[in-house]
Amino acid sequence: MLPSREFRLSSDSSCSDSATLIQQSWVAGVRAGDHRAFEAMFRAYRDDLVAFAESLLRSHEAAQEVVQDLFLRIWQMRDLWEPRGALNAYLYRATRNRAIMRLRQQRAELSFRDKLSHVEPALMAGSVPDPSDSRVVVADLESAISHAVADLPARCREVFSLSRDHHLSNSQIAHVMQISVKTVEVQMTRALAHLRRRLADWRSKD
Amino acid sequence: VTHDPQPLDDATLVRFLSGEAAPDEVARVEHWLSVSEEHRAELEILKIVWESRPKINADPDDSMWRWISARMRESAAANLESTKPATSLLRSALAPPSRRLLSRPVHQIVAAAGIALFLIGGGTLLLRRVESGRARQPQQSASTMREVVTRRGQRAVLDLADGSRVVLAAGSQLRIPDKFGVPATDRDLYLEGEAYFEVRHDATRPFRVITSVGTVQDIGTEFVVTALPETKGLRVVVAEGSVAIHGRNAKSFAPVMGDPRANREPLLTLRAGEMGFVDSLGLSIQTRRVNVGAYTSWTRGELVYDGTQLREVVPDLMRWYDIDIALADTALAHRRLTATFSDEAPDEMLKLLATALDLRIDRRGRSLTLYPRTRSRLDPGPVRPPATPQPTRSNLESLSAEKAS
Repeated sequence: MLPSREFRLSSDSSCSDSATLIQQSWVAGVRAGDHRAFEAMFRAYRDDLVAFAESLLRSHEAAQEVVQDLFLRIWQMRDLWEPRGALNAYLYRATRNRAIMRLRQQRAELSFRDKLSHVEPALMAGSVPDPSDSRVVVADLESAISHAVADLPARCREVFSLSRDHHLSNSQIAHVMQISVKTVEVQMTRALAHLRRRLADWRSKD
Repeated sequence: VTHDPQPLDDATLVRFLSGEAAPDEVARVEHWLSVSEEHRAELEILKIVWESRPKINADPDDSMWRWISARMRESAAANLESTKPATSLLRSALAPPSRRLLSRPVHQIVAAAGIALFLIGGGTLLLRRVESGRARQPQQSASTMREVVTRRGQRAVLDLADGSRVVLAAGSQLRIPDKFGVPATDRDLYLEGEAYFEVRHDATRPFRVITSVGTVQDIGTEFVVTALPETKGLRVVVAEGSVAIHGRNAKSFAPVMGDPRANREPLLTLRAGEMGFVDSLGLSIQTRRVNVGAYTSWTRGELVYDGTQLREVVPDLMRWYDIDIALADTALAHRRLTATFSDEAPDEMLKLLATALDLRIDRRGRSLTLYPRTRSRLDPGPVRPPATPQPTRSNLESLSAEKAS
């Protein structure tokens, strides 16, 4: 069984044990070919996984495709499907692997297709305005925070978002990103240092 | 920030905000808060930062679920149509499959004598009846067996009559005597290739896997047996319990009923977490501890490599993806790969492989040639003769592939 620390950060689910039971029943149901269990599992994770994939791919449509491909694949391979550990960590990791694969393909295709220099940056650019752009006037605290978060280095932002937005524990994040728990902690500390600095700047502007 | 008289380190603050701080850390944060109004204001903001962003409905018109459920119906229908002659033959020879079974993407075939068989990887499975009279084991009385042969790109899961399960790897062959599972009969299986065994232990009926190199006898266990041509011997990895490996000659292996088997000395005995290797002649014997997961991952549809030389990886990829791979440069064979291929399509797997090992892949249908992508061989260098001949076509291809990385 998972150590209790696994659930420390999942403030979302007030009763972690029952959440685990539901996850296990979904897995068992899907393996047995139960359509309803499969649909319930899909609906439970759809929004979170699409949001996570979108943060990596910077495209809502691409994120939707990655997630729906993943679930179709699970259904097609259900007889062999054996997610180890927590189901949510498994699904985040699978989503991440597929998103990264897609990014690599896009990059390969783009550099093949043409040499237009503006295409590549567009791939990596955020959907939010560039916070380093001096023309962006940050008015309220909410947007100051979202700008500061968006301005985190990519890896740091991913760790931070998985922890804060997706309620994954540090060890789950380590599993999803294939890094050590220590690295997760370091990235969280970096994120906080960065956010403190940026928000101090914002407060001093008042 | 630097002029703060009482700085609080970020790591402590992270743990405090996440509710993971130790009591002394909480005390330090509380002290820090008591020092100034400024600190309390900062913490209020950080608490907001630490809250999650609101969730959004990722798919208001439910198009994702509609896409998935349409594909679920499609693949069920496609499987009904793709029934090839050999499969039909198989089906007619066995119990008639139900509609539900046919509609599954993973073919499930219920074979005779209580063996349930699942085929993964599509295509048709070779299942036939063979006479074993002149088999490798002369001691074995002539009896009929069923033979399950997986082609490249296929994998089969067999639930045997005694409750044991076998996962047969791609490009492998398993023979099951008809009397397998009959009470008070030894449970012998004949393997060429690779398979994973989950044995329902029964002390009165030894479970043995017989290969051309030697015999693996379970002592209540889960294990992988590999006797592929490229293995050049017999490799056994034990996940649970323990197994004994006997050589193939009659002295060390005499499968006659009533023999006091406990007295026969095995070549080696393996416990969970150990890998044993016996070479083709039964002379070289090695045992070492291994990461078992890397050897059993294929049963879950994953190929896991951890610093594995390419020469060991290539035969696997050929079997699992049903492709032919040649190395343009023998030095490539020693490059080491650390990767997990889970459910990638062949193209995706090849892209990953090329990226990981810095290779260029030349592809003609199912035949691939791997080239090292060394800049020195492609780039003529800064000192270019003024009258450069036109680059050849193959040069151009190499260069464009180079850019693609």
